[in-house]
Amino acid sequence: MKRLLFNILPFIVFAIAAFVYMAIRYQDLMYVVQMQDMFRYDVSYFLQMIIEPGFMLRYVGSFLGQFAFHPMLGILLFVALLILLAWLLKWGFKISAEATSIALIPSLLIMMYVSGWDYNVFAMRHYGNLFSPIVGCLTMASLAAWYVRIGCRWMRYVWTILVIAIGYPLVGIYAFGTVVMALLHDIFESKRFDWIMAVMAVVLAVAVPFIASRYFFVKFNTMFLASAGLPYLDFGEDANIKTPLYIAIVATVLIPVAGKLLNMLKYDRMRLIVSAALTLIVMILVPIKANSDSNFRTLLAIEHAYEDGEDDRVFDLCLQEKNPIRSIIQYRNIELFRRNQLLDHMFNYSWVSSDIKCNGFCSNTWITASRVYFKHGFFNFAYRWAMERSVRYKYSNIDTKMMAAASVYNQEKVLAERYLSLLDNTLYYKDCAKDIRKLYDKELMHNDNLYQRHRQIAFVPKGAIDNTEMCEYMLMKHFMNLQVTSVQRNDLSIANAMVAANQDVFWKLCLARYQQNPNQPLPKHVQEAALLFAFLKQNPQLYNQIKLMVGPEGEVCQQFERIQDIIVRLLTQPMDSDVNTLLSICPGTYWSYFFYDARQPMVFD
Amino acid sequence: MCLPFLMAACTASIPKDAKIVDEVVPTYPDYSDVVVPCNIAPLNFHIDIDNADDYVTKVEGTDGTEIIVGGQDAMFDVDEWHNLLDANKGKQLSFTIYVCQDGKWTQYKPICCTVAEEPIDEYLSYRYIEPGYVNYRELSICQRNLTNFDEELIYSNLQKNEVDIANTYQCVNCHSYQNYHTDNFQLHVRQYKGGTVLYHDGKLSKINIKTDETIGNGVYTSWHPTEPLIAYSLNHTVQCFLIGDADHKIEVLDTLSDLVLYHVDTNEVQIVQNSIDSYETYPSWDPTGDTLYYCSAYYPIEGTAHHFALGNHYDSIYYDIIRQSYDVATSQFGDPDTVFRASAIHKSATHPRVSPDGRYLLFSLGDYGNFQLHHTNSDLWMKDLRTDSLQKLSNMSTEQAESYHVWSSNGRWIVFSTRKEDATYTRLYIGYFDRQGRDFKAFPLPQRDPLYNKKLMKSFNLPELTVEPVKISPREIADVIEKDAKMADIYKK
Repeated sequence: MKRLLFNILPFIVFAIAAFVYMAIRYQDLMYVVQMQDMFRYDVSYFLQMIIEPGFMLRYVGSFLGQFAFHPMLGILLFVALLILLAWLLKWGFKISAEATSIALIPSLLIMMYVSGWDYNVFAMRHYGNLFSPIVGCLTMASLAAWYVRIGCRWMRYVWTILVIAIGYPLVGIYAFGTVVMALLHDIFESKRFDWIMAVMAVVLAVAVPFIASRYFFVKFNTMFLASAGLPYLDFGEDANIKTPLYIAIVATVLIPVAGKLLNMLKYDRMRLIVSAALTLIVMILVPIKANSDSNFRTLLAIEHAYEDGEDDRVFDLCLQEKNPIRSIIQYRNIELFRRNQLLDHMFNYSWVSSDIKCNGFCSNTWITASRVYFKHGFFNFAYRWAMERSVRYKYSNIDTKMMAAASVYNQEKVLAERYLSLLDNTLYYKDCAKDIRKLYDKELMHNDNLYQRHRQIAFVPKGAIDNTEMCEYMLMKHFMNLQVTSVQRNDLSIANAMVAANQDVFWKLCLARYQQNPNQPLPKHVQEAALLFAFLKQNPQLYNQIKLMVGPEGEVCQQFERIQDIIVRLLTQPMDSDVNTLLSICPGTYWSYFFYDARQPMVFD
Repeated sequence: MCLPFLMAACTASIPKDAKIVDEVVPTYPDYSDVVVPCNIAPLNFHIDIDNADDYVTKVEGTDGTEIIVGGQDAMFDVDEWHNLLDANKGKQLSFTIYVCQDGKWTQYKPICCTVAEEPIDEYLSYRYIEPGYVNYRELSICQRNLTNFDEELIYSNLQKNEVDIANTYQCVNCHSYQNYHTDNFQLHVRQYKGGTVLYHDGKLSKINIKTDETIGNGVYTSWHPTEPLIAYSLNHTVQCFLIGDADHKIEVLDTLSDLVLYHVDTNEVQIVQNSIDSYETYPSWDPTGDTLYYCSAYYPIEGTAHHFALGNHYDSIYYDIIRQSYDVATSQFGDPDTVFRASAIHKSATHPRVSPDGRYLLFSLGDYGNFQLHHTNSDLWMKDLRTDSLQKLSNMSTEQAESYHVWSSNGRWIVFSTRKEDATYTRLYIGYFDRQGRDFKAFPLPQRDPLYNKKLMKSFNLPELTVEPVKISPREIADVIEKDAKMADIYKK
């Protein structure tokens, strides 16, 4: 009974802990990773995979990854495979009951690897990154477990040849790991080193990648022959994020040896304590090493919410961040605009932004430009950035969907069908393709909210060009330069003029808005900006006119009168204390934005 | 996957009691009424009627030879197909399609095409590239045997891209050959390990033709038909993106461009045109090598911010077609002579290519600019150099962009790139141009999988015909790219 408990209890504890931990923290990550991946049930998808060694890992990894469309299902699958890996190591290499928990170490390290991911989940160049390391380690463990059960020496040689000759093209360097496991097993089990097998393995390990690259994987960069099958993430020179994965692979190779060494310990209790302690240390390290960047987690949640059609939730998520990244600020403004609250509330929230904390290259534009442009109804640019991402990284569910939708809105049906036909061959996005196709119906299209927004705000003169790479800056520039043609467009233009503190543009647009709606009170932030800018002009006549326009008895005007002394001081001898006073007296106003937020570095990327 | 096809092909027979209807069944690609070379690969096609019980296609030559295949994808055996073409040179083929729905067979009106007497050059090389904007990742130059479906890699940048590091990406482009043969060829590699790969006299080398007196590396290329000379345009190219026009998302323009002649034997660069106010591009030798054709736009800009100024006026830059005589003995060029002043009619003419018999000048004509790929109004035009008459190739041109084109060595075939299918993904089409100067409806490059062009998420571009394959392996090219480029000198003669 006790032995049974030792054999099973670590798996049960791990299963519950891992599932709960991932369910609490990583549902959005799971969802976004599958959104950035794409598994298609067609031959051409498979054929496009087989250009490099280790392709089968990516194919199977991508197949499994699609189920993360339902994050809980993805997590269940992920945890189940981690348990399977641990069980294979334990069962395959006869790790004693007391030492069972060490079999969980590779699984924990894989969890650590995934939990350390950052914004690079938006920039993965290969398919199946979530599951391919597990599939690789499972392949090693299962093939090595098979090896230890082969009695005949010659069959073991055949096994070695097959594992490297067939395994390398399919699973890359995991095939080498498998043979190392076999060799180590021989050393520790039969106390002898099989030189023939070792030499054969070395010769094959050199020859097979060379032949494979020369004749089968001719497009593959030979520089990566020794890392074939490992995930390529654009982490630049900082490889720390991949370290847990490397250790997980090494651990998978060494766990059988560790099991043997533990078996040599004299006392069961000692085995239990040592293995439990080792496992516990790694387990504790998992949350410690996890990426704790709240902006990143919020962005994942926002992307998930948008895909679920929960736009209101997006707004709530945007407000969670005290120092949001620029993408979150853009989403917040999109949602405020959608609620028709932009000019009344946009400065209620922080404009001081954080940089993206990311290993390697990732920018706000690369991550969110496609959706941001799409939400503004700029379909050409939404298409462009989805295409840029598809070219640079890979065709993903989200970018393909974006290109399809942008093409439909652009009335490019044949082009849209090209992307929709890709989505048709997926398990979870084919319904999305059907929904997009509904917009072929002109009536539905004209009643569509996004199309209406496009008509309202995204109209641009034919031939207007832009070549900036920065989404937020491009939109700001565009709206500020736009002729006033509709209230909605004008509101966005005023908002951007206020953000840029461009008084000339502001006055022109403000006047136009007032003339278009003379009986409608100006939005709160516009009142604030108008009073401030009039005051700055030091033109009492203008200032009085604005006061009349705003309403001299109104709260905004009264408040501005109260802070004029501070403003004068801030304009002549700016002091931190005055800024702090201003922030405390009138938080969430254009004045606090003008004298504080706008003076912080605002880096568009 | 092939098994059902093979079984269907083996067992297909003409259905009896089929109801004959006077309708043409839609197919993809559409091969109706096209003229095809007598050595072309099988014209496999997809029958655009879904959910039928069965399909049978009979191809019959005028001589009575026939092939019968089954399946929604009509796919023909290469050998049988060539037997059929051989027996029907200069004659017609008819494709009769039978479709079985609800247990009843229908025989549709046959689709006909003509087999020309003249073959097409056996090899076509092209580049695969996504129809992207600024970024790229995988670019491959491949060569296709046009008599079957064999495609081989010439070079892929993935062989050198260091996948983890974005700034080691490599662009490959502008492969070109001397006079339809591959004994002398070149291709450019840009950015990472950049340079021009040159294969000449059985040796591979990497050169860099940028000198202190020229504005950059070679871009568009034309080998002299007989001498070891290559004409290059040197282009500083920028892109602008259009915000609100779905038909026109990108504009590509040159902010500087000149012409040079590279002397392969002496590794020297001779300046041909380098005016600051004119933009010369797309050099192309005539078949004798006595004349160099190119495009030129005169657009003087004051100040230094060239590309901003040009970007704002991209739609008023017009290219004319110019030619200059060339004396091989002295390596001297004559004065520029305007062959077609497109600017006079507010049009832009690009990609001049003279037919192998020297009579016709083929070019693209669009409303402005030199990168016609992004201009839906760009069509193929022809100037008869003997009579000076102009004609639009109406049967080959479509409502979408036609741009890069090439003559076959016998002058009867034109391979060109077009965006006719979806305005975005460029496909290669082959059209017949007869001895009377008439063009015929073009057909897409045949593929084993008839739906290949619909599934392929890349564009084809830069088609070049050759009579033989490139014999250098991709790895040999990759190895030479690894080396440092040999710097060219300025021409001193």
